[in-house]
Amino acid sequence: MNPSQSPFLTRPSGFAVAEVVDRVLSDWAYLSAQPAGMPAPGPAHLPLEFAVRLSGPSDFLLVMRSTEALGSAVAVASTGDPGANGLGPDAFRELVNLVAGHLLTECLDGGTALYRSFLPQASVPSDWPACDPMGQALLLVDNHPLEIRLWSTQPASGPHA
Amino acid sequence: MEPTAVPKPLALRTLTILLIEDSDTVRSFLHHALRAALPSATIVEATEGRAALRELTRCRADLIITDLQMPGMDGRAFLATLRQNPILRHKRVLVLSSDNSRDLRERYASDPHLAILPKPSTGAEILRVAHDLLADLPASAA
Repeated sequence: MNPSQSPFLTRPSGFAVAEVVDRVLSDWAYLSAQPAGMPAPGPAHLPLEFAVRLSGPSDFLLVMRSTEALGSAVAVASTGDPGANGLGPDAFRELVNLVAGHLLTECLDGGTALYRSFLPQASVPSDWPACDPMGQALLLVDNHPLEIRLWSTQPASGPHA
Repeated sequence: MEPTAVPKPLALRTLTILLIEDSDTVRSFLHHALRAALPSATIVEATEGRAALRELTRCRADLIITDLQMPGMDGRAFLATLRQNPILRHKRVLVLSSDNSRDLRERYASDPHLAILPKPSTGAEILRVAHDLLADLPASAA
């Protein structure tokens, strides 16, 4: 066990991760997300992808990816401005930022433990860890696929590991 | 965008509001929400802390609305600089952040001129807290 890790750290399931995404989408952009099972293995044509590394007592990698059309839908819905559809990549990046913050404080130990400040970075599947994610989900938002994957990038420990 | 209810005294004041936010989408939302509710306000925008400090040499800024996580100078570094400056230290600041950690709340708990709202917040929530922050600002200063 890594002594710096919280013994109370839980490992959120794909369901818990999906719940956070749905709530953020609903609160921010008035959009709802429908569960659609697990992301399919192998590459998919989802060109809009951002990753956030959460570093503190434990380390996590959050990756979310979708279509440019979903980014545009989020931009328009969150601003209420039909002319905002060109802000798709920016809106999706902000969605990933919001989900990361909420995941950290609601599902991980970021509410009490100190984590470094983070910013979403563009990523591609070849950047992903070789192991399976600890939580993953496929959602449909406005009929657009949204894949979410969360990895623990250190050996997890504690009673819930 | 939802309709926003504005406390009348705030709506009647001529304010200068500095928005610090790296996301074009969020900045656009905030700009439209503030513009709709406070048509006489001057809204100045910056995408990170250092640019915001430059804007503060040119504008009065009755209220600063800032994100925390930004490239360049982030919100925490901006706030530290602001509060160390004898001229700017009492500026009213509304922090919008998806960070709801105990560390963040404790860090700013003793600052009477700073409020924190979670991201995302509605336009109505932002305007309500802005009103509270500006309540004791002399009307002549705004």
